[in-house]
Amino acid sequence: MNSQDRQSEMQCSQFEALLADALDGKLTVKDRDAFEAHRFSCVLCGPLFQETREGMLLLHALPDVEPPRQLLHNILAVTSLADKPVAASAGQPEGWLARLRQQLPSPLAGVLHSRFATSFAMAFFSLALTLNLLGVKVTQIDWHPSALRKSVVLQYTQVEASVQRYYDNMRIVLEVESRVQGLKKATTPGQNNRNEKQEQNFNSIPDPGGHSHDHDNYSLERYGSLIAQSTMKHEGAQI
Amino acid sequence: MEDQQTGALVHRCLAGDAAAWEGIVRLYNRRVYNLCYRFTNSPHDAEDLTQEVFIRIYRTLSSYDVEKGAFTTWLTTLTRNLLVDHFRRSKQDRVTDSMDAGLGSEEDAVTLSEQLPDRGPSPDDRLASKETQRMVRAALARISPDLREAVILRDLQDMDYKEIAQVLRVPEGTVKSRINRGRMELARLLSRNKKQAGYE
Repeated sequence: MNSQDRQSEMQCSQFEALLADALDGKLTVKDRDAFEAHRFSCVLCGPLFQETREGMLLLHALPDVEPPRQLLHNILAVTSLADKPVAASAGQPEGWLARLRQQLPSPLAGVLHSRFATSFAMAFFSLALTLNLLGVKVTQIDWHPSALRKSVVLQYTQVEASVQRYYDNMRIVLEVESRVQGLKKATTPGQNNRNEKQEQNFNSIPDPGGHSHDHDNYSLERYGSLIAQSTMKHEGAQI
Repeated sequence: MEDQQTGALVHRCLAGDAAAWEGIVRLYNRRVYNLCYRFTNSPHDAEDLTQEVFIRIYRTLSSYDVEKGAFTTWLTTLTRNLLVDHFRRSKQDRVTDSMDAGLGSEEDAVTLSEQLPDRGPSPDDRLASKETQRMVRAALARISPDLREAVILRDLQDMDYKEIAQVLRVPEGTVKSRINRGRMELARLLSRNKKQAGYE
């Protein structure tokens, strides 16, 4: 074998690359000659060709498998029950809600279901009504995020200021009240002494029949019923 | 011709024609079933998978673009994707070392009583009996999924290399290489099986 023959000789990798086309009978005359020459000369590629050809013929000889009789009917039955029949829906124009539902990612698709939508509408209505009662008008709200944030902060500050003001006022009122009471106590010391005296008289009542007039001056809270009784007795005596 | 007919059927089906859908199922159920059966080697799985394939076709038929390619290629791609999913689910990866695994040593290997001697020189003769066909099917189920799907599409579904490359999303050179290796591996497995059975 001279050097020219060696150069024109097919390599094993080339042989492998042409193997599929050779088995299909699609090689050019030139390629086929080189292929055949290599096949008969190479100890590796010759058996490789034989095995590959045998495998191909075995597969070609395998007959088609007959599908089960009921398969066609089963497929038609199953597809008729499929929840989204393409054939039926493709021809009909879809509403904007259906189109929107299709465009939404699947986890959000449920948002547009009628039950959820009704609940959402009711919740929104309740909220709007509550806000209206609180003096917030939904129609006058600027729904831009920055404006909304500003308005929420403003509202919060106003409420906080009014609450703080209320408690400040309450504190002043309570302080004034306590001081007035303190002053009252300080300016009328005799009242206390008289009360102490009345207490002593009450403890020294001799008997229900012979009570004195001092008895009528007892504190109203504690002895109101006794005062009433004594008044009635006096009136009866006068009659 | 078949593509034109299928294209018309698809259009009619999308317009709501139930008879057109039945026509599509009639035309392709055998092809899909065979593809599933060759891949899984189980009639039950093949039947279930065929139904799944047609449900998926039914739901996604509107996404098929006649201009982009043949309906057969689209259908085969869809079937193949489903088969890959099925394969992953069932975790029956028993192929990576299929060259080293003897047919007789596996659970689903053909039993010795099922194996027939090699009576003739030609493969056609060898396939004369039902048992020999079963041997080939068993051997096909043993080769790696990559090689198996390539040889099934080429030798059993009669698709050309370009279509197979589209379905498998690999270059044509890779397709040819896989087909060669698949055929060779199949022949070697059968040969080994015969030796183990003592027929050679």
